[in-house]
Amino acid sequence: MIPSYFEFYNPVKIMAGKNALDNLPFELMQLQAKKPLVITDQGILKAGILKSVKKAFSETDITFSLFDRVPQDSSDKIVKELANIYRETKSDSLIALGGGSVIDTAKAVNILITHESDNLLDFVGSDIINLPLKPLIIIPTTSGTGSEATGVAVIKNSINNIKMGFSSQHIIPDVALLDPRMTLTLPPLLTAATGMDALTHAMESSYCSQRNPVTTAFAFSAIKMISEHLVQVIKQPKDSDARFALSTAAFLAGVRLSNSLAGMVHSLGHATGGVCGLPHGIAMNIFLPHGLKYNLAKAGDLIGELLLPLAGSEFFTQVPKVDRPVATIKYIESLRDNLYDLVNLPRSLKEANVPKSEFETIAQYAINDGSIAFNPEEVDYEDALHVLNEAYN
Amino acid sequence: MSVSTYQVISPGRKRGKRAIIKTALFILGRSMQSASRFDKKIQQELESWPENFTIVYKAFPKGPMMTLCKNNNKLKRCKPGEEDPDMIIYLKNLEYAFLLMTSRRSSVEAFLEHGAFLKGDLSIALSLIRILNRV
Repeated sequence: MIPSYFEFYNPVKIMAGKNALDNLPFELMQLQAKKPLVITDQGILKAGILKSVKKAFSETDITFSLFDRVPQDSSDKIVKELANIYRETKSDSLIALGGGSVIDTAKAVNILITHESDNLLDFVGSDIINLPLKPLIIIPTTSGTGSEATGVAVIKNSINNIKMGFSSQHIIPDVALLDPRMTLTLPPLLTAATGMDALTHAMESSYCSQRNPVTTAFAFSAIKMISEHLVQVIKQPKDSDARFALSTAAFLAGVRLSNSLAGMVHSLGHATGGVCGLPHGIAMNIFLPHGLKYNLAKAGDLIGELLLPLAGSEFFTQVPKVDRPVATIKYIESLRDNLYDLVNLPRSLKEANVPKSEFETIAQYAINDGSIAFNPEEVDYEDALHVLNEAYN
Repeated sequence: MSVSTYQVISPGRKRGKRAIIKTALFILGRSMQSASRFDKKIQQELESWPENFTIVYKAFPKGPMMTLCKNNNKLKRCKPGEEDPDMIIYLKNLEYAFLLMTSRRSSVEAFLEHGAFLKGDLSIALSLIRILNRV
């Protein structure tokens, strides 16, 4: 089914595979940059991942500045501090080494430094940035957010703690370096949660209202790779081929997400994260089957088609077309059970210790989250509350 | 002296469509203003908006526009061209604004099809869409 109108844009150069990181100096040269500011967090530092980046710059004339204190929930305060560091050090480009928070922080810093501004609030909104930003290279260290491929950044407002959204084609990074070495040390629980995040990006935007044929091709590849490799990576964390497959899948899902936004699963996840601090990947794991069930009436056929990349052609052909939507949900539920047995990844709000007393606030936040507009079925406050109660047990 | 081989073409005008959009925006603004006085659901939506919040609804780049502000939990049409609004919703071009104002596209479809873009808080834009759906 082709929509009457759609757009697709993804200019990210992907450097993916073994030793991809070693191309970093060359890519900087291509972008006419030689004084990058590297942005990362303490977790990356402790995991020793920075060493590989330092090695990549050996035997070059590139010196870089380093900021390694991006918190898990980055704010406009950090962004402003980093913009000042960028100016002080006379840097000419940005490298983000980390997960979603680090990447989004680097994107927001890029907005400020390009516009020579100190006020991030001036740029909140969609498509209001209308000039090319400074060179930005992303080295993801998780396989989930796909932020290395998206034109979206989310940053907390340090005054009212509300998450601010920035969306523009100019925010999309120039280069994404997907090197399996970067995710080898990711702990199993985090691997499972970020993997389910990527799977949700791919699945949800495949049946939500902004889907289009180009992004569906990306999504099917992503779903297939995650389905084939997620459990394998958790059982064998040092399997670099499987890790690489997950990183690639997360990137593909990110491209997909950037061009056809997700729906209520993301809205509920963002809201539960904002109110109770529930990590995004865990929230996706909890809400995904509930989002699928809620949309069965309007998007059942599309949900049924996802069984093919999820379960493979042999299984798919054995299930009658009419039963495929429900079979897709059952497949996801069994994957969640498997991950729970392996790493205790919570499957319900109860298992994740989200109190019922917060449901009303979460429902209110969820219906004001941007993704809700792209859900096939309309979701009002009562509907959101109902789904939260369903997801509790 | 060389003979000129090119022409300079100035942009044309779409006066008819412009007039229709302007009229539709006027009617929409008045309807929203009236509905916000009586409709409980709209008033519930407005409770979460900051007082004196100002929204400009405009066809990009120089099309007709409408300005609304929140006063005492009601919507009020303000003078067009309000300085420094809290939110601007741009309809990407006059043709898209025409489709929207003649009900051939919904507000949600405008975002789905990238027909609108936004400067400001997305959560209030979603609240505005819910209000528009009731009017």
